[in-house]
Amino acid sequence: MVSYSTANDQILIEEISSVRKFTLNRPKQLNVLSLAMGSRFLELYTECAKDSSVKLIIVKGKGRAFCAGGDVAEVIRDISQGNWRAGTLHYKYGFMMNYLLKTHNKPQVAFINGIVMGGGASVSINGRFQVVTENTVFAMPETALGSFPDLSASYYLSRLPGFFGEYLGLTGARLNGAEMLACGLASHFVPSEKLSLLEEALEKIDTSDPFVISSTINKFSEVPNLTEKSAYHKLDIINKCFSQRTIEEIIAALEREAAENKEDWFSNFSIKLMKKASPTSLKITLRSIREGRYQGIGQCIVREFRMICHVLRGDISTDFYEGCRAILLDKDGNPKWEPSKIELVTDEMVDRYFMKIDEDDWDDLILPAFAFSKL
Amino acid sequence: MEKVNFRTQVLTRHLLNNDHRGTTATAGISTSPCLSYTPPELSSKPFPFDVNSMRKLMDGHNIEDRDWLFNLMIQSNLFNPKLRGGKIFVVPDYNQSMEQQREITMKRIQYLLDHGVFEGWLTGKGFDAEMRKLALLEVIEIFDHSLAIKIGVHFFLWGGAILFFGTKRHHDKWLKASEDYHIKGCFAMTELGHGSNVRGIETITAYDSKTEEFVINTPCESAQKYWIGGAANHATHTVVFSQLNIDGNNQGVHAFITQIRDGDGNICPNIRIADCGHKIGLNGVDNGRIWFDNVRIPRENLLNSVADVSADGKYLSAIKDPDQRFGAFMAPLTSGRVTIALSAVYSTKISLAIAIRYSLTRRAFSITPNGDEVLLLDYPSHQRRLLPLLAKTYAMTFSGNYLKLLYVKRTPQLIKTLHVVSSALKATLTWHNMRTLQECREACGGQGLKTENRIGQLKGEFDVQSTFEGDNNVLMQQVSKAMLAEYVAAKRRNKPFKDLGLEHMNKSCPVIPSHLTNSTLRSAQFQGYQLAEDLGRAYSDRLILQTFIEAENNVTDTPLKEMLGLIRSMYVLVTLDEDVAFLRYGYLTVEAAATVRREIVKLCAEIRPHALSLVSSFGIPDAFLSPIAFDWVAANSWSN
Repeated sequence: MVSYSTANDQILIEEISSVRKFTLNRPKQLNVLSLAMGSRFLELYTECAKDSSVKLIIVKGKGRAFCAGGDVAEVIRDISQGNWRAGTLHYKYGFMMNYLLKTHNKPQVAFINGIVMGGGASVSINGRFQVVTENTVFAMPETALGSFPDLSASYYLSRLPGFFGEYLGLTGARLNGAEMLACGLASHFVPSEKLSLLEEALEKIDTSDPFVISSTINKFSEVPNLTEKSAYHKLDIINKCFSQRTIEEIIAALEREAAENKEDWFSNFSIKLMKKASPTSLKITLRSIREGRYQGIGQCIVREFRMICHVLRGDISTDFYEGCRAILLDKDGNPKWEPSKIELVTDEMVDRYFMKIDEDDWDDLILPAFAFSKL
Repeated sequence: MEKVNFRTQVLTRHLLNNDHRGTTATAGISTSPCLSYTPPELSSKPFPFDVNSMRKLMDGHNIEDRDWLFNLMIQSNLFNPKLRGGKIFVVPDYNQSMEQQREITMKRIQYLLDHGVFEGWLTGKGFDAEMRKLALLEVIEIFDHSLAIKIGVHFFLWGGAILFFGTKRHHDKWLKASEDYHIKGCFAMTELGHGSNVRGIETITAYDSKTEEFVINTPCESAQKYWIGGAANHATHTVVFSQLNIDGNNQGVHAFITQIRDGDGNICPNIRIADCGHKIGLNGVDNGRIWFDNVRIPRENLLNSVADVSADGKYLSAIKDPDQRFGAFMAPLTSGRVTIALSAVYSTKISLAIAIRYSLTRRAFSITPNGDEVLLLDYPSHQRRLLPLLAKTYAMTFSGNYLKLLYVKRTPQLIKTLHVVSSALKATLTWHNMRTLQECREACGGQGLKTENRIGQLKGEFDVQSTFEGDNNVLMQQVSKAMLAEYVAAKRRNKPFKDLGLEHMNKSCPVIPSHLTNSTLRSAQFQGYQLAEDLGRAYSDRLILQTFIEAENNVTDTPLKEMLGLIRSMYVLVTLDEDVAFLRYGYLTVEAAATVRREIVKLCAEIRPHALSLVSSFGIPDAFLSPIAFDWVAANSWSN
């Protein structure tokens, strides 16, 4: 067995015969992905793709989190020292690494034994298998932060059943492991005490065959029950409301549901979550998911990168900075969004997030030509 | 021996070489040495124009509404999503029985109804409402022709009859109820013995002044209503077209609302309904046959916008001449021709997108001993088969948009033009569809026979287009007749031509020079004159070209304009080449015809690098194409 680590130990790497194990190692920061980790993952995935001795990748997180997302605090720090362009580098690595993960041919098993949010979800879902436990907590919290679900979220959220993806992306609602399994965000549920046994078993199988990997995991897996209050039991309300054309119509539909059915707590709960989010974020997230629904992963990534550039540039709204201030820095939990109301966010403003940045020396993300046809 | 050596060399090369196609190919392609899939992007030039702008130009309107409806369909299990090669496709399951297809079609309608798709389709007023309705119908047609027809019959035929043949009392009573699908309507015009000749239908209606009721009868077997979409299983009400006898006088064809089923789905008394049975396609539509045996309906059920019957049985009409009355009656039915013509174009877009994308990834035969096999679309013969059809589809899109606006903005003065244009375009565009489907099917070889690859199946689904809502041959004759009548009338009056797009006839007939240069061939002016004849097909071709040129002139973006110019040239030259009338009437010399042929081959080579961008501009999401348009190797792999 060979193990070594990155310059600053943020990813622990182990080689056990044909398996490569990458452990996210920033437990105090809930394993948020730093710039260094993003670029290192890109290198690692590139090497694995070319190395025929690698048959299986396992990814896990140290501590009580798998990965709570991108290191937004670091992004903000880099931007305040430089300008918005410095922040985009984080995202660039994140996007490229997810693209590569999705399209290369080495199966990855993610052990999600804790918090998995935002960009962390991308790292797990873009691999072949996701093993969740009774400790798993999932969310896409970006809209409350003034951003939008990125790192290919528009690709996988849009492909969840019905309009569940819109529900998750807009409300930032949390899911547990059982719910992730039910909707397709996870492939297997394994009780946490069996994870180390599973790991050992996977070290021995020495194959890339997905059927063998899956049946190996199945030896330890269970089918958990959904809780009574699970959002997944509310799919007909979700599909009815979150399929509406615009954010205004979605909220109106939820309000109608709440009015018609006094016992329905779910609609009010969803409205409350959406009202906490940045209005601009809501509108661009909705459009991002709707467009992502029929774009390949490459197109989604290129489009999302454009959008994140606009978010960082703050050229249409500076809600991202306000969100980070309120939630991460000052922690007053009271962001002052601008525009402050949903109706004030115009279609023209939303359109601009999807347009190329009009600076001469700034280009779209370049992916291999495969990007536009694969998947 | 040489052959064996050659083959061994080829195989050895496969085994030794890494795949050298693609830049970071190792990241995406497995290490198999066999033929592997390379995406169309790798063999195409970067898109020279903005695909979204081209899409907006071609779709023309309500882009967001269309995208929303695409989303709605992709995300519902009712629309039969299937995972192939990592992608989701939504295509109806044509392997289901006729009964199952009919039932799932109704379920899909219910789903769309629940999500507000049909809001305002009958009660909405104005230009925007009308355009939104047409846009959403076009999207439905992309998914399934049966679904679109079932919806079209209810809204455009039944609903249209209420709107245009009925008056306020009918609107108040029936429009909202229809829009909400509290009743299901159908349209009983065609009979076993009469289709094109509507005036000859044999269903007969008399008036009973004592009870103030009309009495409808099917006097003989040839009078049974036939092909009535929706009637066999689901429809509760119908508009019956029948001869009206008042006081022993036949007043001609009129329309009556009749209930044929009650709310529980039981057929009403005095009405017999049978099934038309299994069809070669379109089995999601339950076509029925209807007999009326002294069916009594209230006097108010006569759709009385053009004529009426008083309570005491007097026939009343503002239009005295029965021919004119019939003409006014039939005018609103143009909407059917419009929607059919437009749906034909979308069908060609689906098949061309699939066939061209496939031909950009499928290879056959090597030219050099150690070389890769050649992409299908790199063969001039393959280009010659598909790219002209692509150009025609572009041209017909613009003509379809023209027709759509002409219809939505129609005024009484333009009714005649609308009739001629809609007839010409309905015939031309639907014939183009059948031809394109066949060519695309062949161009995909064996894969074209797989139902899940869509193209072959579309042939059966869309075949009906050439004979319903007007038999194409009859329609073209009507166009020719209108041309001749206009010509004779203008000559007699000694006045210049106007309307019907014949203004160019006022100028002297130009002669095509026998020696054609490249630049002459591609100039719009030259192209405009050369198609100046005045019968049926020629009328259509010239009209289509005119709408193309107008659309092209309105474009300011240079790359877009240049691409359109290239396609326009292809359209014209192919029309010149294919229609023997030009040679027959001496408009083209044999030499010129040969030059035209050579120019077409050159155009093929010029358009080939942009083929992908041109089909990507159709705005049809991947999910509505088929597996052979993408990674067909992965889609067919064992693990799938």
